Amino acid sequence: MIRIYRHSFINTLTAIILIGSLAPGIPPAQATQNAYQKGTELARAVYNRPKGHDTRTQGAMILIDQGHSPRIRETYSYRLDKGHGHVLSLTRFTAPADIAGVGLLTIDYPGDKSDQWLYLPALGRVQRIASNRKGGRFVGSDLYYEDIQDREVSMDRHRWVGREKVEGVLCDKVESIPVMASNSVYSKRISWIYSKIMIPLRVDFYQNGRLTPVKRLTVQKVEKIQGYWTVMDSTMEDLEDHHKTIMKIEKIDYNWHLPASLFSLQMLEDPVREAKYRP
Amino acid sequence: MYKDLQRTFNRQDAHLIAVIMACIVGWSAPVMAADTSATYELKPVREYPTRFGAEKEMRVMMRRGKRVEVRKIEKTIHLQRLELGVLPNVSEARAVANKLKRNGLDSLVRRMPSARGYVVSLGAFANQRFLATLRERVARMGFNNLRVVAVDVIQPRFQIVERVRVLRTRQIIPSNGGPQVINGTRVRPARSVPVTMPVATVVKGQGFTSRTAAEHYVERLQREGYTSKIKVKEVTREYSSVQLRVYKKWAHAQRELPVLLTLGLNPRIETDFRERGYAINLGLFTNPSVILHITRKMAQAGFRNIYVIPVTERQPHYIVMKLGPSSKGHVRPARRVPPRSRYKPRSIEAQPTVLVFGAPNQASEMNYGLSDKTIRETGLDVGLRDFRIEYGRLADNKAAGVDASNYLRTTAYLDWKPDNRWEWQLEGRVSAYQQTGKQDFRHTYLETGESFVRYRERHVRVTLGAQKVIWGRVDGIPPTDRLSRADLRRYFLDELPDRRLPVPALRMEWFSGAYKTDIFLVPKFFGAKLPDINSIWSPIDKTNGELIGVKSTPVLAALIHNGRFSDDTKGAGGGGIRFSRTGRGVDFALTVQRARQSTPYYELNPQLRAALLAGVPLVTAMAATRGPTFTGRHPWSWVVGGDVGTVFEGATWRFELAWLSDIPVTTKDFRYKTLNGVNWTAGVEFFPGGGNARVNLQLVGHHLLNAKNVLDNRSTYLLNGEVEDVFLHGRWRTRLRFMSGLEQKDYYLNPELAYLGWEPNEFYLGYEYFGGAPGTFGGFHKNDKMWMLGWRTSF
Repeated sequence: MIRIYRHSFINTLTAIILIGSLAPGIPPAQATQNAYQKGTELARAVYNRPKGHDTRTQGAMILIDQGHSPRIRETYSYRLDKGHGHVLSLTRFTAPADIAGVGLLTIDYPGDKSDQWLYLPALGRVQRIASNRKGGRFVGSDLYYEDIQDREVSMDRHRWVGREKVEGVLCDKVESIPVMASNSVYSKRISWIYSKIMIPLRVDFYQNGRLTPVKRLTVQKVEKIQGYWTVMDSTMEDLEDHHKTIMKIEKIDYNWHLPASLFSLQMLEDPVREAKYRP
Repeated sequence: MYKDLQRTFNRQDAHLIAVIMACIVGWSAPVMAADTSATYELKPVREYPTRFGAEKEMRVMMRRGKRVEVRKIEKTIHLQRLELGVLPNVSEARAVANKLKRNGLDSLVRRMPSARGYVVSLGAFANQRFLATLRERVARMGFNNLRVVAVDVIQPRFQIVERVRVLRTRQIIPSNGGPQVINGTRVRPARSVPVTMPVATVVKGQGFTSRTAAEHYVERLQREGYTSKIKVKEVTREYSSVQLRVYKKWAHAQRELPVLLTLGLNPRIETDFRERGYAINLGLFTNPSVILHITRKMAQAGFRNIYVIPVTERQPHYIVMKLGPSSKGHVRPARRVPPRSRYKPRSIEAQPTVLVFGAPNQASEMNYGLSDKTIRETGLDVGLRDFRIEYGRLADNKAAGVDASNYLRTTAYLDWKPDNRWEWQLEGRVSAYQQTGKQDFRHTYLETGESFVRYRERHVRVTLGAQKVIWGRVDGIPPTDRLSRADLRRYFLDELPDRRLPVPALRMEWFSGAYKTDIFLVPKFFGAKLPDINSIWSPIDKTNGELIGVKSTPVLAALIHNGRFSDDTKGAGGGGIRFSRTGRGVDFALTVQRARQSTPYYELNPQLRAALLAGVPLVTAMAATRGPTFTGRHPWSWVVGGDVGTVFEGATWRFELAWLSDIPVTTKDFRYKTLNGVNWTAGVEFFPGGGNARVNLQLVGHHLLNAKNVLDNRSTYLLNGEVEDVFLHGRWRTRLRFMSGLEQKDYYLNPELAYLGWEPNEFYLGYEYFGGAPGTFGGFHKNDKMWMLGWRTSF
C-alpha cells in the first residue's frame, strides 16, 4: 500500500505554492539591508495571503513518468483555520483503489507542534503518526513532505534579488535560505512572486549547495474564487529525471462554515459521515 | 404702550417685542435694533469610563435641576506596556507565563513576527508608580528581559455635558432693498421665485440605505414643492467582513482591542456560536484597497488570525421617487437637463478571475479521466473488492515433502447505503489453497465476509453482523486483540488485517470529541480457522509428530503422529469494552474483556494421560482411550489492558499491555491447567534520515505468572517488525518483515521486492525464511522456506 504520512493534500496544492517556501531572517553582512527587508516582506505577504476561514476541495495529483502510464491520486480535503496558527485539516483519498478510504487528520497548533493520525480502512484503526518528517516523497510524488508542510516565514532568510519575467509576467525574485540547514531538505529556494496576487509562479529548489536546481514548481492556472486567488493547476518537476507531478483542483469552496467536528476521530474513521461535506 | 407691554412680559422677551414693534411701526425710517438670540452650548462636566457610571451621575445632576446629557467621546490615553521577551519559541513563552501565574500575575503570550519570537505581556498601565512596582516585582522573580513599550490607546469615554445658554447679540441694519448685514456679513435678500408650470412629472428615483435618510429627502423635496413617494426594494449587497478569529475567551479578544484602537480601527467583539468562541469584527467593507490596507496594517502589528469573509446581505433599499411638483407653494424651476453626450462612458474592464501562465502544458491540459462528480458514499455499490494470486515454490521440496503452496483469494461485495444513517453490506469471499507434492491437497472456501447492517446516529454507530474488529495499537501481535478471529491458514505470511476473519457480533461505538467508547459482544464463539492438517502451515505436523511452539519428545511425537485432534468451540464468544482517547500529544485506551482466545491450545486427553502415568504402553493407552487424543481448548479469560501512543523525537512510540487470566499451560506431567499472565508489546516507528525508508520495530514479551513445573516457557521475548523503502518515484518497493526470538534461536525473515508502477496492481517476489531451535516457531517451519511470486490488486 502506498504510504501516506504527514499533512493533507490541500496543503500540497496550496501551501507549497502559496506559502511553503518563503520566510524571513537575518541578512548577511555583505548584502544590503533593503534586499533582505524587501525579501522578507514579500515572503510574509505571500505567507499571510488571505486563504479563507475554511476550504473544502476536490483535487487530484497526477504522477507522470516518461514511458509509463500516469498514476493518479484523488482526494477530498478540508481545512479549517481556527486562528493563532491552529489549523485543522482532513484528507480522504478516493483513488487509487488500494488507498481509497484512507484518511489523514492533521491538527496544527501554534508554533511547530502538530498531531497527525492516519485511518487505515483495512485495519479499521486510527494510528498516530509522526508529523515532523521533512524528506521522503509524499505518496510517491515529486513533493517532499517538507513541501506540503506549513513552513513559517522565520525559518528561512529571504533576499530580494530583483525582478524577472516568468511566462510574460513581471515577478519579484526572492531567494530563501534555511536559517538552520538541519530543518530543511533544501539548501536554497528561489521564488518568482507575482506581487499582484502574492503567489509564486515559479519556485526552484536546490539541494546540497548545488548551483543548479533539482526541482521546479510552476503554476499554470490561478483562479479567483470567492475573492481568493487560488492555484488551480501547478506542476512540480524533478529536473534530474524529468518526472512530473501535476496538482489539480477540481472544485474548491471557501468559507463554507465547516464545523470543527468534521476534524474529529469520528469523521476520520467513517467516510460516510465525512462525505456529506464534500464539494 | 411699548413700556406697558414691556412690563407685562418678562425681560427675556423684550428683544422680541422690540422687533415686532419695529415691524408694526414700519420701515419708514432707518432703525438701529439689537437682536439678542439665545443658543445653547454643551459644557463638559465630568468623564466616566463606562456609560453606566456616567448615566448614574447624570440622573443625580438632573434631580438637582441641571440640564445635562451623556455623550460618547474617544480619548487617546498614553499607556506603557510591560513585556518580557523576546523569547525564541512559544513553549518558552508559555513557561514564563505559567511562572508568572504561579506568582499571581496574569499575562498573555503574544507573537512578534517582526522579532521572530514571542513576548509575554503583563498589561498596559497608565499609573507610573504601579508600573514601577510591578516591574520591580517581576525583576525579583529573576526575569531580566523586561521592557516597557509605549502604547497609545484610543478609549471610549462617557462625558457628562451640561446645556448652558449663551446669549449672542447681532446687529441688524436693514436697508431699503439693499443687502442685510448680519454680524457684519452682507446678506442679499432672497429673491421671490415666480410660480411656474410643472416641467416634469416623474424624475429619476434616488436610493437610500436607511428609511430615515429617505424620509429626510422626502421632507426636503416637500419643502422644495415636489411630491414624492418612498419605494422599498430588497437588494443583495456584497461586503467583505474583516475579522480576527477565533478567541476562546472573551478576555483574550478584549486584550486585543487596545492595539486595534491604536491602529485607528473600530473593533467590535462578537460571539461566534459555531466555534464557541469570540471574533473581533472590524467592520464591513466594499473597497478592496481599504481591505488590503487594513489587513496589511494588522499583519504588520503581528496579527496572524486575520480573515476576510465575504458577506452577502439582503437589505431594504429605499428609493425616493420624485413624482412632480406639488400644487402648493413655489416651485423651483426644473434643472436644465444637459444634452446627452455623444461619447459613451468607457466600459470598465472586468477584473480577470482566471490567470493562465505560459503556453498550454500538454500534460496539465489532459483530463486523465478525472471527474468532477462528487463521490457521495451513499447508494448501491456492487463489485469485487480485491484479488490476489500467489505461487509459492518450496526451496527445499525434499525436506518439506511439498513442491508448491499456492493461494488465490477474491472478495465480492454488495453495499447499500440508502442514506447517511443506514448501511447494508453483504460480502462474500472465495479463497483457494493448493499444495502440490507428496502431501498435496486443494481446498476452496466460500465464506461470508464482513456482512452487516450498520446504523449511524449523531455520536453513535451500531453494527450488527459479521465484522472484523482488531483492538489494540501495535502492529504484528496486539496483546489486547482477544475478540477477533484468527485465520491461521497461511500462518504468519500475511499482514495483520488478512490474518483476521469477521465474526458475527454486535458493536456499539460512542464518540464524544476525542473520546470513544467501544462495546463489542460476540454471542457465538468461532475458533481460529486452521489449515488442512497436511498443510505446511498447519500448527500440527503429524508427519514428524510436532506441535508448533512445543519442544517435541518421543512420547509426544508418537501421540501427535498417531493421535486424533478436535477443537472445542462450543459456547459464547464473550465481549469487551474499550475506552479510548485520541487527542493532543498522547493517545491511549483502556479495555476490559471477557474473551476466549481463538487460537486453540491442545490438551492431552485426561484418560490417556492417566493411563500413560500409570505405566500403560502408549499404543495400548491410545487404543483404550475414547475420544480425541488432543482437544483444542479456548478457555474463558479476563483481559484487562491498555495501550498508549505518542510521538517523540520524530518517531511514533507505541506500548500495549494486557493482564490475562486463565492462560492455558501444560504441566510437566501433561496436565492441562490455566495461569495468569502478562503480555506486552513496545513499538517504535521512524524514518531514518527523514527519507523514504520506514522502520517499524516491536519488542514483544509474554510472561506466565507463578508458573511452576510447566512445559511452556515462563517468559518469551520476541523482536519483530518491518523495514520498507520505496524508490524510483514509488514504482518499486523493497520490504523486509522479520521476527526473532531473543532467548533462543528463532528466526523468520520475509524479504520482498514489489512493482507498484501499475496502480492499483502490485506484483511481488518474496522469500520466506524460517530457522530456529526445536520447539520454536522458526524451528517448526525450518523446512518450509519458500519463494513467492504474486499479484494483488484492489478494485
